[in-house]
Amino acid sequence: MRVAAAPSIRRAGMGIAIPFATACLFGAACFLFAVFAIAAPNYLTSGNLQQLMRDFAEPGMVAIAMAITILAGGIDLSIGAIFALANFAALFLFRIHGLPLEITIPAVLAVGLLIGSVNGLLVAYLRLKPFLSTLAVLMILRAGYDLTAEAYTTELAIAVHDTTAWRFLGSGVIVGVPVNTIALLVVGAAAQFFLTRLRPGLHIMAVGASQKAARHAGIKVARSLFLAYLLSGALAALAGVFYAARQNSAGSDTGLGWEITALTGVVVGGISLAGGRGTVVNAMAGSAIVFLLVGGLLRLNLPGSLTSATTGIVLILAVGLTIAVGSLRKSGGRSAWPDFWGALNKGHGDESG
Amino acid sequence: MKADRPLLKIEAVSKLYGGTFALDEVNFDVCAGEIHAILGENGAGKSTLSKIIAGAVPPSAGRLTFDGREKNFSTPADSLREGIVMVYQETSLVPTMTVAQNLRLGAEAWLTRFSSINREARDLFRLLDFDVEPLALVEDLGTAKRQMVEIARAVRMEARLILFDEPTASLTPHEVAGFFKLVRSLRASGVAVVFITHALEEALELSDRITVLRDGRLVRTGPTSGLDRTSLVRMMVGRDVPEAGGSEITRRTTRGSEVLSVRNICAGTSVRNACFSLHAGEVVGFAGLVGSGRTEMAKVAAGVFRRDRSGGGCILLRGKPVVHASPAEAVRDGIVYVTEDRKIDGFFETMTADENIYLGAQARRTLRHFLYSPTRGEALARYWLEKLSVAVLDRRLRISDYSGGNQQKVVLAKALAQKPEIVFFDEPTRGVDVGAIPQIHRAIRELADDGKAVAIISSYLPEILAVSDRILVARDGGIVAEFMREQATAERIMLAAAH
Repeated sequence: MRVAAAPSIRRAGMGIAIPFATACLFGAACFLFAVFAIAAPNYLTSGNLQQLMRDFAEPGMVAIAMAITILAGGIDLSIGAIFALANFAALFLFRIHGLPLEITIPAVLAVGLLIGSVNGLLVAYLRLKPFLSTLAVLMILRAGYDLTAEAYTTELAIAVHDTTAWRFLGSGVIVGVPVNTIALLVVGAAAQFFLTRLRPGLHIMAVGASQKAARHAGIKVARSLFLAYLLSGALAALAGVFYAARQNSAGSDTGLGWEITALTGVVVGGISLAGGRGTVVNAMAGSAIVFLLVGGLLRLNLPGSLTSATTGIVLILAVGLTIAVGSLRKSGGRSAWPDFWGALNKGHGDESG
Repeated sequence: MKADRPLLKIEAVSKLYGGTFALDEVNFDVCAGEIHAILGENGAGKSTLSKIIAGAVPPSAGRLTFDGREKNFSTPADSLREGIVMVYQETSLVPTMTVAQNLRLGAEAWLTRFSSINREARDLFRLLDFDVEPLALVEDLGTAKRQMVEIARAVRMEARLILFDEPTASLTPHEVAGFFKLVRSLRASGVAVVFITHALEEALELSDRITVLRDGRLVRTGPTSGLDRTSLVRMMVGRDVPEAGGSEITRRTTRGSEVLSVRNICAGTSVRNACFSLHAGEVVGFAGLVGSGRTEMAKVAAGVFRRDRSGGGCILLRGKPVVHASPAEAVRDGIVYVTEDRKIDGFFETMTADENIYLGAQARRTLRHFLYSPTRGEALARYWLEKLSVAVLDRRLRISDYSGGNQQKVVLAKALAQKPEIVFFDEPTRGVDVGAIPQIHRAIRELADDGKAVAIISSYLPEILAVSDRILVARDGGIVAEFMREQATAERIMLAAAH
C-alpha cells in the first residue's frame, strides 16, 4: 500500500494563496497611489494624504459591513441607506437636540442594529432572498431618509451645538492619522479577527460556505445569518456617526450608491459572491483600490461618467481574475495551466519516491 | 455483545414527501456496542431513515426513543447534543476551511487557536491511522480523505451513536479494511453503529444485525448470521435477480482492429506516460485504486481534459494523430466519455429524458435542426429508453425525479444516441439499483458486439471481471499491467494496482 513515506506536507492553497492575494491587492493599491502621486498635482502633500485617509474611512467601514454579509453567503444592499439614516440620526440627536455623545452614539448604533435585525429577520428567519429583501429595505429607508432629511433641512442648517469631542470625532488627528481612519483600522482588524478566530464569526463563515454542512454540524444557521446582518447594520451606522461629525450635513445624496461602491471594492478584493471565501483585509484592500482610482481620476479632471466607466472595467477585470484563479485551483492544473500548477504542487505527487 | 435495552428505538416512523411515503411505519432499533446495517435499493428509504435519526429531516409520524427517553429531533444540533453523529454520503464539510477547522466545526472554542486545533487534529489522525494533513483545505481533498475527516470528526465528538451513509463507496480496499477495523473498535468501546450500504458483502462481514428496506417499508430486521448474498438481494428487490458477477454474459472472442491508440500521454500530475489501445469489438476494463488516474486518462483520451502542451504524448485514431480541444470535437470523431458522476456532468437535471437524449444526439451534429422538435425527441428517446428498458411512467418528469438506475440509463442513452465508435464508461453502475446493473452490463456488452471499442472504468473488481475481455491496471497515472480475461484474477489485479 502506498504509505506517505516522504513527509510531503500539502500546504493548503489558503496558506499561500490568501497572503499572496493580499500582497497583490496592496501592491495594486500602492501602484495606483504612485501613479497618481506622479500624475496628479499636489497629490503627495501631507494635507492631501490626510484627506485621502479621512475620506476613505467611512466607505471603508461600509465595505466591511458588505463583506460580512457576502461572506455569510448573502448580501446587504441597504447599507448605503442605513449609513445615510445613521448620519441623519446622529445630527438630529446631537446637533438639533443637543444630546451628549454618550447617548447619541449608542442611540445611532441602535438604529443600525434595529435595521440590521429587520434584514436579519427577513433573510435568516423568513428565508427571503437577501438580494431582494435588502433591496426593498434600501428603497423604503431611502424614501424615509429623503422625507425626514428634507423636513429638517433648516433646523440642521441653523443647529450650532458642538463640543470638542464631536470635533475630535470629525477632524481629530492622532500622530498624523485621522481619528476615523484609526477607527476603520480597529474595526477592520476586529472584523478580521472575529471572522477567522471567534466562534460566532467562524460560524458565519461556515454558513456562508455551505449552509448544509453547517446545519449538519449543529451550527444554528439562522442565528449566524441574523448576526451577520446585525453587524452589517451596526457597522454602517458607525460609519454614519463619523460622517456626521465630519460633514455636519445630511444632503440628499448622502450614502447614495455607497452599497454599489462597497460591493465593487469587496469584489475587487476577491471575495466570492457565493459566500465563505475571502477575508475582511482583502475587502478593505479592494475598497482602497476602488477609492484611490475614483478619487485619483477625478483629480486628473476626468469627467465623472468616465470615472464610473473605469470603475466598471476594473470590476470586470477583478471578477475575471477571481474566476481564473479559482478555476486554476479547482482544475488542479489538469486542463488549463498544468505546468504552473505542477510547480506549485511540487512534492505532492512524489510520495512513491 | 448486545445489550438488552436498545440505545435507540424507532417505532412506526413515517415520512411523507409530497404525497408519497418515503418511509411507511418503519420500526428500527440499535443497541450500544452493535453494528446494524441498513440495506435497500436506491429510494428504499435508507437515507431518509438515517436522516430522521440524525435530526436532519423531521418525521411525519412515529416515535423516537433514545436512551430510554422519547425525543423529538428537529435539527441536527438536537441529535448532536445527544451524541448522535451522522457521516453523510455527500460529505458535509465546509470546503473553504482547513481539515483541522472542520474537525471542530460546530464545536469550536470561543477563541480558535490554530496551533492547538492543528495539534489536536494531528494527534487524532495518528490515533486513527489516517493520512490526512490537518492544514489542507477540505476543497483540495479527494472524496476518500473527506470521508476520513468526517469519521474523525465523529470520533472526536465521542459519539454514542454513529450513522454512516455509504461510508466505503469511495474508499480503496486498504482504506476499507482500515475503516472496518475502526468500526469494530468503536463497537468494542460501546458505540452503536448504523451503517447504510450498497455493498452486501460488507454488510455481511461487518454487521451484527441487518435491516432491509424496500419502497419505504421494513422487509426484515434480524441477526446477520444465516443470511447470504442471494437471500439479501431477494429481500431488497423482491424477486430473484441474476447475479452481476455471474458468467451469463456471453463473450464474442474475435477482436477487431486497433481503433484508438493512446501513446505516452501526460496531463498535469494525474496522468503520467499512460499508454493503451482500444480495439473494435472489445471491452477493456480499467482497474486501479481511486486516485490512480484512470478517470483522468479516459478524460484525456475523450477530449474532456487537455493533455500537456509539451511532452503530452499523442493519440492516434485509426492510425491518424488527433487533437481534441473539447468533448464536442471528440464526440464528432465518435469518442464518447460517460461520466462517473452523473449529477455533475452527466445530464441536465431540470430537463426531461427526451430533451436530454436529444441534446446528446445533437452533439454529434447529425440533427441539423436548430429547433428542438418534440416529436423527433420523443421518437429518439422512446427508441433508446425501450432498448435500455427504462420504465418511466410519466415522460414529463424531470430527470432529477428518476431513480438512480434510470438516471444512469438515460445518461447511457444520451451517450449512445451520439452513435459513438469508442465509448469510455466511468463507473457505469455507481449508485444504480441492484436490478438495473445486469441490464447496464448487457447494454455495454452489446455495444462491443456491434463492433465498437468499449472501455469501462470501475472500482468494483467483480464488475471489471464480469464484462471485460482485457483488463488494464492503472497506477500513479500510468498503465502498469495488462491481463487478458483468462489470466486475470482479483488477486493479480489488486497486486498490480497497489504495489
